Amino acid sequence: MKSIDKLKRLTGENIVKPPPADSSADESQGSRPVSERQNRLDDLRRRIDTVVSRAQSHGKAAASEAQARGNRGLIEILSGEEIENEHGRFFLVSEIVPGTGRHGHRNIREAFDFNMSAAAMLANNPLISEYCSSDALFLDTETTGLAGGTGTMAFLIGLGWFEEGHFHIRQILARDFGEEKAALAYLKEIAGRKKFLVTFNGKAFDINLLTTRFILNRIPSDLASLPHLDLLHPSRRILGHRLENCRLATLEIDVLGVQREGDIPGWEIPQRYFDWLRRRDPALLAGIFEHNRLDVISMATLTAHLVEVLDAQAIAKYVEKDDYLAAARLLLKRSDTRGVEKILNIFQENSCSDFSQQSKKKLAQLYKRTGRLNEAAQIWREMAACDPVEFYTVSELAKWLEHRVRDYSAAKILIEKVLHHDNLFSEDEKKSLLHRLKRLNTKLSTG
Amino acid sequence: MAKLTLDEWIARLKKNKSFNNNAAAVVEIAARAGDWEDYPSWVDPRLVSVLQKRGMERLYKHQAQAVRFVRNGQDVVLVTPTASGKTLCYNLPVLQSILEEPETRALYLFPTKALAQDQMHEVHSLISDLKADIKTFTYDGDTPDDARQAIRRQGHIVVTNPDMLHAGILPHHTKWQKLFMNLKYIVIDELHIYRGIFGSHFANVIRRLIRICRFYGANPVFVCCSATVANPREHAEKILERPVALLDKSGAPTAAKTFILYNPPIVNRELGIRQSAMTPARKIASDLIENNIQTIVFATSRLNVEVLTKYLKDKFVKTRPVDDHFVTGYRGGYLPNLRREIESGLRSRDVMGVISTNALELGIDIGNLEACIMAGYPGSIASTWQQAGRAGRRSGHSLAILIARSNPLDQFIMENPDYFFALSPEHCRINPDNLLILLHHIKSAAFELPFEKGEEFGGENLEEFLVYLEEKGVLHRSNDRWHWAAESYPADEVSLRAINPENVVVVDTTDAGNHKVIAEVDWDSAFTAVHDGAIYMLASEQYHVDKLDLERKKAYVRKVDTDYYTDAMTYTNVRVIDSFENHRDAGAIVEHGEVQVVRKVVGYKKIKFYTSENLGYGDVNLPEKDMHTTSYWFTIPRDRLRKLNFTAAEIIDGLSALAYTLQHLSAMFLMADTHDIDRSLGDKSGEWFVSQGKTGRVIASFNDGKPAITDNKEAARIDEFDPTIFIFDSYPGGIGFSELLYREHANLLSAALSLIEKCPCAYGCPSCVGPTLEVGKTAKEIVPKIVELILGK
Repeated sequence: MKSIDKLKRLTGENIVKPPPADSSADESQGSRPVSERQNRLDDLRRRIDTVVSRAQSHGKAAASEAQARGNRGLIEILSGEEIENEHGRFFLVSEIVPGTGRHGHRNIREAFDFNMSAAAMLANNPLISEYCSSDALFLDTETTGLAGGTGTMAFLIGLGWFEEGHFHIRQILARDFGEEKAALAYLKEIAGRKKFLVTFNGKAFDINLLTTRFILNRIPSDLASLPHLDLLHPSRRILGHRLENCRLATLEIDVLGVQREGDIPGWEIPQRYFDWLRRRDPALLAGIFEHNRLDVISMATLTAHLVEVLDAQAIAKYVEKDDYLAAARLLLKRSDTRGVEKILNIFQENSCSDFSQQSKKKLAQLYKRTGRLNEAAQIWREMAACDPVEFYTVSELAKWLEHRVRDYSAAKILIEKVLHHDNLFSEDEKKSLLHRLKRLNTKLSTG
Repeated sequence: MAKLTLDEWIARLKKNKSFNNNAAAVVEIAARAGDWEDYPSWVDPRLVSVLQKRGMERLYKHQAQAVRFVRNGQDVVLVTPTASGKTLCYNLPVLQSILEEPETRALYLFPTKALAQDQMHEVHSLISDLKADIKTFTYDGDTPDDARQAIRRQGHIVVTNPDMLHAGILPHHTKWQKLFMNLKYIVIDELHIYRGIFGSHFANVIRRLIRICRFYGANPVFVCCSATVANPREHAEKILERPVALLDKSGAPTAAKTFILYNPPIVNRELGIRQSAMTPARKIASDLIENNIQTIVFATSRLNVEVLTKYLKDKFVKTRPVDDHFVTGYRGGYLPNLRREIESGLRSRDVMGVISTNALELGIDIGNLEACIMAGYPGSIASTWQQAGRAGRRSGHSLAILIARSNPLDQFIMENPDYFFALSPEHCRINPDNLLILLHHIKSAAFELPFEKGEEFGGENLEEFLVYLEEKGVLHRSNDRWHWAAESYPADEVSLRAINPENVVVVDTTDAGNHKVIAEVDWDSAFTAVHDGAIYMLASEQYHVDKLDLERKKAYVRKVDTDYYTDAMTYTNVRVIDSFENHRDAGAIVEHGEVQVVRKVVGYKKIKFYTSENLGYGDVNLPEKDMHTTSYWFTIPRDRLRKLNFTAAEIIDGLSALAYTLQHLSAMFLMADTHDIDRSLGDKSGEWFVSQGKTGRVIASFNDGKPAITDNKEAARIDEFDPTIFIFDSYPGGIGFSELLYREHANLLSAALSLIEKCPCAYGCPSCVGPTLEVGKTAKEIVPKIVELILGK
């Protein structure tokens, strides 16, 4: 007997199982019938696929005929081409998005030529400031799964770059596992002409995965050592405070103004590719190409947007004050005081009254940490006007009065007033205020 | 009373008449002088000086030999006793090689995290003495994420376990490129642990490891270490699938040891029942501990650990108010902190007595104990020697006592001490080509690297599997290569050790406001250990199980003080699915093949402490468990049995008794644990089966998937079916035992016949056909007749 037949018996594939012996068994595993039905459905779907592919292909000749038909279909639907290099063939879709093309709130042209030192700051990699925006390679992959590890392949690699005011897109498709090596070699060729990478979560995912694929295909690659701006992290820092999550799709809707229509959900992508491998129906891939294309373009406009926020240049309509505050904090963390100044200057022109207490506090902290104490004090005063017994405001104002203005009695009056007022200070907070009061009294009596 | 030294204690014991009457053997293992050799000239002087500073003036002869072999690129398996300096056999060539060529990498595999930690500390201390820039790390589930990248790139010696290799390293091998490209040595310690199901998985993990090494152009040398087993070279070669040199002559000096085989007295000659092994274990242990002789007691089950701990604690708490840990239990279910505390208590001699399962058998450092008591044969000779080795690891006289139980395996050892002390202990058996196991690892391997047409993996036709997986939609074929084409991560789908990687946690609800997790029980044991109404014992406290919630995987318990413990009753029903091979013996049809086994826990007995009196029963309502496995079985036509001059009930009793004997003998033939194989009596269609009920043996029919159990055995008639005895693998898919048993059918039955005839009992006893209470008074008389009928004598 063939071992595979034995195996089938072992797994129960060829056996009709007797019904469960005991009804209590069913009750205690209530979730089982659903997953079993799901399994059965999955199994059925696979079988149908097998039958369909068998019907389409009698023997090897028919199989390659189906493949050829699928490939012709791809060329028609996606107006791409088959490329051949020393490692074999793959499928390539090329496109030039004109500078006048619109993507969400902006024209493509407006995404071009962004401030490189701001981009370097976003990436936390000073090397990037020496390049120009046309040195950037935007990259996004579509893969056979999210599990990671060596068993996941990037079957579609979307690339984009700016050239002469237009946005160039290349989408590299391995129509089958066998085309991967040629596809990777082409990626390497293009990456070789560019100076740095821009991705969304590429550090943890796309570049890691591609590095694995290069190793598996025995192509030496320095992709992982290129300077890399991963937009996920700065997006989370600057925009995360007001978003439900930090997925690119969410950023598109809430920040970039991109509305996708009929977009396929990401979780569907692996199964569509597996179905393509069996059925060779190009319609399965068309949606993935469009999805990937939009991802790549969105990365370009997102880069421009984040750079503008960091550079205090964003279009007022699409930026919130707290975005700037978050950006200023990021800059402060990277010790770019000039950048912080630039952002803070925006606020000077504004009245502070339309800020929330929380934002005012952040802003005041920024002023304080950049040495602009008078501006900070102005905000503290405003804050105190709204809520006179907030510990942070009181203690900052008292400090400012004591150490900066050296008006001890004003400081004393302030503290005494709030202590007499109804307040919610903790024991530690009270202690700290009393301590300050004591010191002020000493200073007043000796001074 | 003055305390006795161990030598005085042994001298006194040897004069004790009743002890001598029951000692099956007292063997003095003499101290042996060592055999040394100089360090080879190529060893770095820094390394020599560090080792010499640690008292290793010269190498033991076997170490020098091993080091030479490994240096020359020869795969070796080392079989030398505990404390013979095995680790140096690989640490020396590995460190030497790294000193010469800093890019060199080595991978160490240990069966448990704890052993890996121990080993890492040992290497680490060598390296820090050496003051060399050599980095060694453990890599396991506890390794923090931010440390992992550094380990992958910089670790010269990476110490890990097979589970991590399987699920964490191989599926991400590209991240380990640096290690694999420079991998010169792979160390597999405790090789004998990798047998049975675990070994069958492990061999496949090694196939995958070698495949990945090949991809990176590495051809590492394997250094394996094993406890003493009969077939270390065969076993190593079966795992590595290439020739391996055997080094089994130890040059290390050994200390003297007194080894005693003790067979408890027969307390009921009629029933052939011996005194429980627990009784002498308790007496001897408490006497040793009273004399300040530090003692370890190994019990064969978790339950026995708890029972013995309770006995000993009761005694020492009554006689002297001592620290809670003066005597203590130790087993897998204890939480790690408690275990670390006990281990260090043993080293500092604050713990004078420890009662353990085999959890302490392997090389976890617990210092230098003086006496070891084994309450029951540990199931294998290798384990027995390893447990005995826990006493007197380093020097000085030590004592080991093996106390037999009434089961055939223990009794066989008592009857044949030569078998035990001579050089023919157990064989390690694995079946890496178990179809389910192999299939799983083919999936994992395909995930790691696509398979090429013509490639080989395992002993079956690989292409058949690849085509099968292609049909299943898991692999995709492209240009004669099969690629992983699914979203899942196959290494997560199976555990190398357990059938079911799930656990049930035990929640103590004694304090209503403060529920605490006190232990974990594996899924399969949960059905018998923490069913509703069970008494669960932990750290010699008793807990009543109020509710086993299988859906949430929790057992809710509450502390109680009862005078009984519980023992679960299960039924087993086997149905033949496919016969792979069969032949007609004189009086039976003998077959092996594929079966479906259904098991259900139906109730439990309450058993009183100390007297083992049966206090009553309880019912349990748990779902059945269903398993496909391989079995060996034979069927005796009913008309032949009818010709024997016995009643139907007596014949059923006789067949059950024969099944009992065969199961135990099979374990011995196969050198396997008795838990690895199981037995059942029924008919081939699975319609009828025989099981142990509340009031004795019952025959149940199994119609329409529902068991109908009648307690009246006269009501069940033998002419309803042709009785079949099944001896089956306890693991899904089987691990190769059944086919072997099928070939050994005649030998097995002859051995059963001789065992029963030789047994001194009157009507049958646990050592031959099983306890009379269970098998009936005529069993011993009828079994030989049935065997003769089968063999046609």
